[in-house]
Formats: sequence, C-alpha cells, structure tokens
Amino acid sequence: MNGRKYFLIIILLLPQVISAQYYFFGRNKVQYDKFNWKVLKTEHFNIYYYDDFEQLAEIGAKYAEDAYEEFKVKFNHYIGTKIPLIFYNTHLHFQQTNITPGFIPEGVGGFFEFMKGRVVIPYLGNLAGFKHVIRHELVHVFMTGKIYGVLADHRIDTGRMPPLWFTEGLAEYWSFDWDTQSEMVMRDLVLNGLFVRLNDLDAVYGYVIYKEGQKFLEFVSKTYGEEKILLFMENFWRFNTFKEDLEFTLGENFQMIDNKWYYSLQQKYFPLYENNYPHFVKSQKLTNRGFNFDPVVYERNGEKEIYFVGNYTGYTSVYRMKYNPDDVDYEKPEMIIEGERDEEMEAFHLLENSLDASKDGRLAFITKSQATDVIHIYSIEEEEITQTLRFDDLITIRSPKFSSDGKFLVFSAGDRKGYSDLYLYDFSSQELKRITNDYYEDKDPVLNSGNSKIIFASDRTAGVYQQKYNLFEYDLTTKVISYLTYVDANISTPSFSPDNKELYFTSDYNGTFNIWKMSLNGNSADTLKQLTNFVTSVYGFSFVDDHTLVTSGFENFSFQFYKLDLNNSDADSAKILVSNFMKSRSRWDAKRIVLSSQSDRLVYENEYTLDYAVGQFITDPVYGSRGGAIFSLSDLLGDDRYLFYLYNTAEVQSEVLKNFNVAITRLSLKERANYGYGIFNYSGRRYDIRESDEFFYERVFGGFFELYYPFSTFQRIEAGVTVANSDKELAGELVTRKSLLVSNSLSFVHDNAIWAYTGPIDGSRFRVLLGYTSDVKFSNVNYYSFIVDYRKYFRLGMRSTAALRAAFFVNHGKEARRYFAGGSWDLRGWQRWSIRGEKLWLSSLELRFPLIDQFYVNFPFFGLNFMNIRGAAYLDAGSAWDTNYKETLGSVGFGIRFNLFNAIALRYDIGKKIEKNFSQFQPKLFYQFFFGWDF
Amino acid sequence: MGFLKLLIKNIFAALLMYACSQPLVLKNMSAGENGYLMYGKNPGRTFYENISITEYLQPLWEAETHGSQNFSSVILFGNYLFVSDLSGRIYVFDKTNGKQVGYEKYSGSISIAPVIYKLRIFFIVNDYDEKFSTIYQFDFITGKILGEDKINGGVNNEMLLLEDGIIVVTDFGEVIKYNFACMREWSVNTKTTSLSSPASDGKIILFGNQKGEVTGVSKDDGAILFKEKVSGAIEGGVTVDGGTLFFCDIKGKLYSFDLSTRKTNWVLDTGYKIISTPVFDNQKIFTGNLSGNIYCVEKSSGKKIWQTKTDGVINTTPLLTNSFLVQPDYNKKVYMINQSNGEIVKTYEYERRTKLTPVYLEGALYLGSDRGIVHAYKTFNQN
Repeated sequence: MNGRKYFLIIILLLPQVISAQYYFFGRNKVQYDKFNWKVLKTEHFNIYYYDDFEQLAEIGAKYAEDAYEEFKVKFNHYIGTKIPLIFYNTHLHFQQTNITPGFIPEGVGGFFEFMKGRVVIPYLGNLAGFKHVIRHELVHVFMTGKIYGVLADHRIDTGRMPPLWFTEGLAEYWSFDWDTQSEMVMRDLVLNGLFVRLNDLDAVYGYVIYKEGQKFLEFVSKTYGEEKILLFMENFWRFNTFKEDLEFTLGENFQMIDNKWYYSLQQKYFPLYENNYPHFVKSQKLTNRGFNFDPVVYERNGEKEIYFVGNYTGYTSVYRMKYNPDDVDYEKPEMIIEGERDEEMEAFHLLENSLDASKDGRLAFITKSQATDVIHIYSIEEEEITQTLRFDDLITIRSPKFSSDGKFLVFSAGDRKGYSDLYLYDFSSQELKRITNDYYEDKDPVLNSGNSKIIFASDRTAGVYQQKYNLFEYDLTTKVISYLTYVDANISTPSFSPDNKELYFTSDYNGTFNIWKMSLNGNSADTLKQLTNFVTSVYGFSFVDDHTLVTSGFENFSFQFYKLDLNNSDADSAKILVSNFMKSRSRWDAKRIVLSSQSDRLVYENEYTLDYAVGQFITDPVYGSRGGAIFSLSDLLGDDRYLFYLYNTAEVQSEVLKNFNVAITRLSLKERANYGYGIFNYSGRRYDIRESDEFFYERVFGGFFELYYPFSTFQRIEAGVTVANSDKELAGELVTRKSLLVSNSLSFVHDNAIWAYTGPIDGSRFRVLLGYTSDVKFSNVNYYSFIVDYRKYFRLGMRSTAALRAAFFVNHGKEARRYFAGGSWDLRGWQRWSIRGEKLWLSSLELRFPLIDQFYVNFPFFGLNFMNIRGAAYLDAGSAWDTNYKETLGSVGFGIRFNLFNAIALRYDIGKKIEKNFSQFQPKLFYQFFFGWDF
Repeated sequence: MGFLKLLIKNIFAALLMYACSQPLVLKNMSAGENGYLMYGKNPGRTFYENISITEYLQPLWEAETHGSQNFSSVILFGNYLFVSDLSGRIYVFDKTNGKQVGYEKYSGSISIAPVIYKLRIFFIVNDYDEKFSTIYQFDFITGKILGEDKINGGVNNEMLLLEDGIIVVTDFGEVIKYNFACMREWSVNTKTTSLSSPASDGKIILFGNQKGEVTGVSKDDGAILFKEKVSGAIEGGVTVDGGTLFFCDIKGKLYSFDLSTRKTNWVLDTGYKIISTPVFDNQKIFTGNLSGNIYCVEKSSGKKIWQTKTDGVINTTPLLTNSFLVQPDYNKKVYMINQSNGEIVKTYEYERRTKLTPVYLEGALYLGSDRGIVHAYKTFNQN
C-alpha cells in the first residue's frame, strides 16, 4: 500500500514541476534579459557567449586554451571531450542563469557544474579576475576528471571527492598567485586567533577554506615538494579517509603536519607586529557589529553624521549614525533606507564602493533594480529619494562620486560588451557622457575641484607593472589619459583632501591596503607617502576634517568603522615611494583567439542532453510486477527542459494496456515569462488520502498549461489551466463517475524572507489563489477554490524571531476536494492529515531562538559535531469542516530543530494538544519527530 | 582491537580470494621459455627492438582485465601474457588468442609490471587502506604463493630483474634487493622520495629522485656509491647505454650523464614535464613530454634531429624499432612515427586512454587502453 501512496503523490506532483524553482513560496530567478547566444569552437572548448561580448569571449578563449595546456601537464591528465565554457558579461546576467536552479549570491565568481561538466563564468569587469576564475574552474574540471579516473582505474566507487578545503584550495593555488585579499584574510586568521587547524577544516565553509587550503598546499609544495600535490590525487584510491592519504603521501603523522604548517604561518605572521598594528591600536573603533562600508561624513544641524551601507540583519540597507568618537559607548546606527525587500532595491553591492554624499546634502547610492543597477539620489534634509537614475545600456554601476559643487556625478559602469568604464552625469542637462571605452577596468573616479579632470584607478598600467592598478588622470578638455602614479602596487579609492592640495588613497604596497597620500603640487607630485601601516586592510575612508578620517577596516573577520587621527599616524617615519614613469608604456594588449572559420563561430541552437534517468521495477507476490522510468532532458543552457514519465501498474498481464501511465512535460525558462505544458494519461487503482477509506480505479487523461510571470525577485503571478477527462470507479460501487474536468487557477505570490538554519527569520511571504474546477461535460464536479496563506517574521534579535502564520483554505461546490491538516507542519501533535474538510483555517505563532551553537560527541570510534541547534516555542490553532463548523483545535509546546547538511531540518516537538474549541488540554504530552523546514 | 581488525580482514580477504579468483595455474611450462620478462626488456631499460616493421597493425585479439593498467607494460613468457591491473589483479592470457587462463586477486592495486624468473612470477601489491605494500613470489605451476614480504610505503617504480635477484625501489626511496626466494638480501634507505624506475648496467642500480639526484647503488651489497645532484626532480625512469645514463626531469630536460666522470654530457630542454623513460638505438634517443611534444636527439651530442607536436599528453614510454617509434598518447591514440624524420605516418585511435608501453615479441605487438583492454596486433616486416 505504501508503494501506491507514493505513486499517487508522484503523479499529483508531476504537473507542478514547472514550479519546482518556486514551489509554494520562494523568490524568483528572473530572466530579465533575452540573450542571443553564440558558440565559439576552439581546440578544447565550446565557448558560449552572447550579444556584444565577442571580444572578451575571444580573450577568455585564449586564457582557457593556455590553462588547458598548463593543466594537462600539471595533472598529467587529458580531458577527452570539449569543455562547455559559458560566459556571462556581468554578474547580474550570471545570476539569471538556468544552468543551476539555485540562486547565485554576489560573492560567487563562477562555478563548475559536475553533472554535464559545464563551466559558467561571469565577467566581473577586469581581465585579471576573468583569467583567475577561468583557471580556477578549469582546475576543478581537471581535478574532477583526474580523481574520477584514478578511482575508476582502481574499480573503486567514483562517488567521492577530497574535502572541500582541498578542492577549493587547489583551485586557488594552481590558478593564481597569492594576492592582497588572500594575505589580508590569512593575517587576520593567524594574528587574531581565528585560524582553523587542519583537523577542523572539513567542518568549515566559505572563503576561509579557499585561503587556508591554498596556503596549506603552498606549505606542502615548499616543505615536501610540489609533486606531493598530484600524489594526493593519485593515492586517493588507497585510503578511506583523506587524512590517511595526507599522512601516507607526506610520510608524516597528521598532527605533525598540522603543527608544522601552523608553526610556519606563525613564523611568517607574528613578526609583522614589529612594524604593523591592528586597527584598534592606532585608531578608535566607532562600531562593533554588523558589516559597515562606504562611510561618508555629512554635517546636519551642526552635528556630524556618518552615512554608510551596512548589513545588520541579513538585509543590506543605508544607515546613518552620529559621529561621536568621545562617547565610550558605540553609537547605534539608524536605518534610513531599507534595502533588499522590494524590486526598487533588490540588492546592494555590499563589498563594492557604492555610496557618496554631496556637500549640499544628497546621497548617491547604488542598488540593483530589476535588470540593472540604478543610482538613487536621496535628500538628507527631506529624508526621501528624490531621483533614480537608470541607464539602459549600463548594467552594473559602481563608485558614484559627486563633484565638489554637486553639479556632476562621476561613476564607473559595466556595459553589454563587459567593459568597465567611466561615465559623467550632468544633473543640470540630465546628460550622460561616456569617458572611457576599452577593456581596461577604470574605477573609483573623482573630479577635481574645477571639474576639469577625473582622477581614477585603473589596470591600464602598461610596462613592467602591467595590470597593476595605478592612478590616472583624464583631462576633460583634451580627452587625454595620463599616469598620475606608476608604482608596483595596486591603488584604489582616491579622495581629495579638504583643501584639495593632496590626494589620499589606499594602496597594497606593503601587503594589505593602507592609506597613502601624494601632493598635487610641483616637484613632489611623483612621491607617494604611506600614512598608516595596519596589519589588515582599510576598505574605504572619508574625511571628517583636515586631519581626521573615518575608515572602514577589516579585522576579526568583520568590517567596522574607526576614527583615524592623521596627526597620530606614522606619517613621519613612513615609507616613501616614487613613481618611475620611465618604466611605463602607453597600453597593453590582451591576446585572444580569433577564429576565421565561420564554422567555428555559430549561433547557438539548443543542444539537449540527458539530465537524469531513474528506472524502477517492482515485483511482489500480491501485486505482481510493475515498473517504469522518469527521465529528463535539457539544453546546454538549462533554458528548455523536457520531462518524461512512464509507468505501468498492471498486476496481471491482461491489464497492461489499461494501466499505462505516461506524461510528457515541456518547460521553458528562457524568458521572463516561464511556461510549461504537457499531456498525461494516468490510470490504475488509487487510494485518496483526502477521503478516508476511499479506494477507486481511475483513468484520467488530458493536458495542462502553466504560466509564471515574475514582477521582480520577490513577487510573481501564476496562472494554470488543466483539462482532464476522468473516469472513476469507486470500489464496491457499480456506477462509474465520468467527468471532463477543466481547472483554472490564478495566484499571486510574494516572498522576501531571509532564512536562517532551519527556516525564515525575517521578511514576509504570502500566496493568494483563486481557482475554479468544473466538469464541462457531465456536471459531476463543480467547485471553486480560494487560498490565502500569509507568513510574517518579526525579528527579535540577530538570531531570534517571532513567526506568525495565518491561512485560510476553501473549496466549495459539488465534489469539492478536501484539504487536510495535522502533523509537524501545521497542527502539531494531531495525527498527520487527520483533520480534513473542504474549508480549513490555520494559525501559528512560533518563537524561534538559538539553543545550542555547538556540541561535540566523542564516541569511541569517531566524533560527531552538532552545530546550530535551534529552539522553538509555539502555539497552533485551526480547524477543518465541510458544511458546519466543527471545533477549534490547537496545540502548544516547544521543540528543537537541527539542520542536517544544509539539506534538511530535523524537528522534534513536545507539547499538549488543545481541544473542545480551545478550552481544554488533552491530559498527555505528545512527542513528535519529523523533518522539514520551519514555516 | 588491532588484532581483531587484522583477523577479520584476513578472513575476509581469504574468502574473497577463494570466491573470486580463477586459479592461476599453468601446466606444461619449462623454465627456459622465451619471453619479455621485465618492464623495458632488459636491466638497461632500452625499450628497443632491432627490427623494422611497417605502420600497419592487424588486430589479433582483445582481452579485458577488471581494472585499468598504470604506465607499465605486459610481460610475456612462453605462450602466455601476464598483466597486472589497478584493482589488485594479476592476469594470465594465452598470447595466441587472448583467452583468459587465470587470475589472482589481492586487496589493493598492482601498478607495475610483474617480473618472471623461471617458473615464478614476482609482483607487488599496494595494499588497500594500509601504508605498506607486499611483494609476492608466486609459483604458477602449483598456483601457490611461495614467499611474501611487506614493504614500507607504496611501490610505483618498476622492478628490476637481475641475474641474481630482483631490485625494488620504493616511493620513499628505499632500495631493496630480493633473492629469488623472495628474501631480502639487503636494503638501503636513500631517504629521498623516488618516483623513478631504476635501471642497471649489471653492476650498479641507477635511479633518480625528487631532489634531482642520480643515485648509484651497488647491486652486490647495497652501498650507496654516489648521489649526484644533476637536474630538477626526476619522475621518469632512467635508461643505461654502456657508461651513459639517460633520463628526464620534470622541467622537461633530457640529460645524458656520464657514469664514470659523473658529469652531464649534454642537456636538451623540451620545456615541459617529462615522466616517461627515454628510449634509444645506436645513434638516436627519443623522448616525449606532457605537453605532447616528441623529440629525437643525436645520442652523442644532444643535437635535436626532429620534433613532432601532438595534441595529447605523452606520458607513456614508447617502443622503438628500426623503422617506427610506436608512441602511445594519453589522448586515446597510438602513433606510428617514422623514427628517421618524425612524421606521424599512422595514428590508431582508441575508445579510451592508452597507457601501456607497447611490447613486441615474435611478430606481435601488445599494448593496452583503458579500462583494462589489452590489444594484440600482428606486425609486418618491412622487408
């Protein structure tokens, strides 16, 4: 019987597959843009790109082919088939990809999809980063192929891989050199006691494992030999754990390896304190929580205030706080623009330079708004957004900066070619002027006081320091770009001093970004002077007065604001750098693969391959043999999908034709409006979980069409129509109920919730559905449906929330279907699906809070580490009925939740059921274990 | 606990062997049969056959093993072909028709070719989930293991069959001499990782290591005679031609090294890592790198004669004949290269990677492709 229930659930779900990416709620992955895909065929790659990205795709092709030649030697491995390499010209377009069904956060620079071997990469504005990501992902391709080959050669299960810290660490180690950001993170980890030892790295995720893994492999290479890295992979077949593989390959005890590695890092980083210092030593901390970026100081009503982009709750917003460094208590920031809850401000770019203030009291800040970034102008005095600047051809926007008179706004932006260039917006004429137009990345522009020149940082540096970010000057009159600095370092965030005589900026010359300055006058204009020597980076700064800065500093894996008094800095004993323009060149050119043959440069046409195929065959003495299969095809870009379902439930040979089940569905996700349609024929004996003890034979065939139109990430409308001919024979009855059912539904869905470990903790979600089902031929069935389900999450702290649910379900009319409730997901304590009726209401109030962050159980043979166990106290109420209201039921209690592998939440509840119209507790406690996310 | 684990493991292994193996028993064999008894044919590892074949290969048969092979070769003895695989099996096939005669299975992997001495076969198993390997002496007339010995670490360097024993160089750099009763005569630890198959001029065991040192060990008592830093890390095998040693390093350089003066005669830089063993005839020496380039060099001077670029990865030691260099490519190909001018005269393509060094014996050529396919071809004499 269980098998039959399962079967019924499968067929009921099938027409709903189109909503797999949405389900009942869920945010939307919106295909705002229609891409005209093309294919570039090189020796080892099929490179997919679109629209105007051809030049950068050809450069990317060169990077990929060069990397292929290098990695086939490093891995002693060859990839025998062409690797699909899919380029998106910006991260915003990359976020629209259907190659992975999940949402892609801003920090993801690309991915390798194992199932079909696809490599998907966005262009992030600079060629060095592009090359890095291509190489990083190709390391994954080669490593996966290598390890699969090693295991398959030895006839060992191929379904395992080394730990993530090794795979990501290797991808970093073999794809690029140790850079400033890596150095900053490693300094912070080692010097601030955050370093994760080798034994614990398996349990850690995120950027830490990339950098620690990379650093560990560098250590292995130096200490034991570079060849050991390949041997880790070649010996992978030999042991059950990677730890044993490490020990065997390096010929040393695991603990000893770990100790030696940590010691080498201590040796390297501890001496830094001789000349470098933490932020809190030389500057005064102004904030102590959240992530704080882009501080700008503005004086309002005689008081100085800091405006900034911050994240305190999971949503990034614009905040302000009083500048009050004399107060020993930290100021509490006030949110002035709430972000990431509606389509106007779908996302902020937290780690990017994205906010500025004019002297006349306007803020300019960047958000993603639907398909592109926009610039919002906010009046500090009026406390409202007065203008939103949207430019059709500009997809990403960064680094807005007002001119000193407030008449202009200069910024950098990415276009459809992938170029990241400078733009100047004139507020009076409302005209946008493009300043640069090439594949060099130009960023962080500032206008001089006379609005005649733009100073900016760029990787257009040519000569011996090629692709370093130096400062350049663009003359708006002559349109000539010239070097302002020429040093072997990266420079960013230039800013004029209040008297306009000096230029301040950050530079990574000493390993992390610190504050430097240069004079703009006379003979010393080529001399750069270091002002700070923080051990970790300064991410941005703003002048409070002529000798005081507010900085955003990285320390203890957080970004906080500090007050920095330049009079107390190390300026007198600091490093001096002199630009050596003799070593410079005017430009550099990126090599690319240019294919002359048109047969190697094609318009993309759907290339379908199998996604998965599952077959099943059951035989038992009662029901005989049954079997079937489900398989799915999709095109290379994941935009077009077909699902096929075949099953037969015949119990005897004569019923084979009568019990044939087949469904074919096509889904199109290519454009903003997603749609799906299909046909189905289901027949067999059924048990309806909605009606007690109702067995029947049914044959139903027909077709359906569904349409999903997202208005934004947060809201969509869904419409569906199903036509189904149903012949139903109830067990024990002679009469067959025939019907030709036509069902229509229309829904509006909203979801801007953010999630913690076991369920949502902030935001809101709701669905309103109207539906109508009727038998247009025999009038045996005729009912309407109405559903409203609303959930709201009231944040009580960083990690606790009060969740509220109110839902009402109605089916009304002839042969209306019943809803059901009971169980861990709604009326807790009551038997699952035991409360049934054509009308149903539910309400829940739940307090969610952290209970145990971590505990470790050390059994004799192995250790179990349990993390993020959450607690809940709840009160449920609800009822279901057909015609006359029965009684209000409920439950109250508490429970614990535990996230298992980020795949499922385990829930255990204890409580008391409430009955008789909520007037009486049942005498006994109930205990309920189930799995699933919190509502 | 350890004893219990060992006991259970041994019982399980014994049951598995009994249940899975097709007994490897060969009848009617004599110790004087002709054959190709070790990887590289002889202690000098020449990989050279003094014959002239055409580029045409006529398939004779294909046989299949359970696991794949490493960068190794088959061994031939009498009417039989012996081949090990990475799933811990050692197979015997009838070399005339490819029919499987029998196999033995062990828990682990056999990544190098066995050696045959008289009616006994010696092979080394890299034991699964253990940090040691085991050398076995197997009598294929009785189908019994006559001797075995545990070796610390892995063994991926090919064994060397000498007239009075067998030399094993472990991955950890330990050199062990076994007599033909599988008993250690001597061992010496060079204390440097070695991924270089040894060769011998009959007196000295020669091999490279990860420090780029060429090491010479006396075959009689295991004394380390010399250890000369010559190159970058050496991950390919070495080959001996009289008083000259040839080898390559991971920087892609081919070295000619004088054993008497212990000085480098000449160096040729190919630019990319080399892990195969160079092969030579009277005048020329040949090598290929992982970037897919194949070189022919004048043996006496190091002067490049020709260079051929392939689109694959050359990581397998080729077979050299007077007419063709038979070169497997990891990119599922075997090239028949005119050894006088470097022209790829014919390319044979395979379904999967080709890794076994081709072996020629009595008019037939034997090579292998993944996963575990052994191919036999009839060759044709150019004359």
